[in-house]
Amino acid sequence: MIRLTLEELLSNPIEHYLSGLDKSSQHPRLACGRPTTISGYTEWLCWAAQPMSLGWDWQLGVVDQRVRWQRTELPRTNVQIINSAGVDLPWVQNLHCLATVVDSLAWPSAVRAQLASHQSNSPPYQS
Amino acid sequence: MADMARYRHRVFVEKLGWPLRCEGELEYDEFDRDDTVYVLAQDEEGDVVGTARLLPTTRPYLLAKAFPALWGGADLPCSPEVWELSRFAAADFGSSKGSPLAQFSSRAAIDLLRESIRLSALLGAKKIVTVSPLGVERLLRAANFESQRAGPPISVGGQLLCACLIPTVQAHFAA
Repeated sequence: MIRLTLEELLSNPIEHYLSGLDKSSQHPRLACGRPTTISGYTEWLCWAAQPMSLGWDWQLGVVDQRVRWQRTELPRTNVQIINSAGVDLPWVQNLHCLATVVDSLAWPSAVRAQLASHQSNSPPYQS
Repeated sequence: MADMARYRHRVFVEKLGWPLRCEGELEYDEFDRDDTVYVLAQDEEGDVVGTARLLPTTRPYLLAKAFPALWGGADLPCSPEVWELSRFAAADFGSSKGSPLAQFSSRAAIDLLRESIRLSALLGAKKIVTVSPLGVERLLRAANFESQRAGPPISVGGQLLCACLIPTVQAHFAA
């Protein structure tokens, strides 16, 4: 577990590591013509003295008649945010704090780029 | 023990294809010792339908020997308050419902994990550590188990694995 303040975390770049689709989402054409939801996961790293890891589940779906990328869970992580007195935030509060960091990242574009790379390297879907 | 070893062989060797050394159709390894603690789930006929293994981190354990890189560079746990959970499975081969590979999506799997956590607490653990595929970590979260990572996930044999810490006092137990 890596303990640091939020300011210390934000002073290091957080970089995309990898992303993937849930298997149930890999053939969205099965729902051709109907609104559907695509889901998956993404992993990000912050390299400091010890690597810090942030991962979360995401969903691409229609919200208010618009296609939106959404984080669907609190992050999975080895990061523990501490306050100015060096005291750990309670774990759930820690995850919510990290979620605000996640939500400030341009993660959808990184996930989209990785998925597009996977698709271009995959054989075409055959019914 | 033989029934458990046979069940482990079916799950980990036959179904999941893990390259484990076995004695015929029995799956044992060096961490099956006299001080190893097992949690077994059995059906009404007494057949094993779930298994979990608990090891104290004060003696050799799987994570420390086989997957130290998952610990993120920090000192590996060696404490009577930290136990390791491994060989966890809750696949009911006799059930016609669902996939036999469902580890955490079944009620039985959640109950087995809850009992494993409860037992480890009785043994003095405040946390259990486990090496999990990324998908299992996600399912832990979906089942409302609190867990923390020790480090970033690493690809091992083509599968993303991470080391997770699960506190033995879980908020959802109080619900």
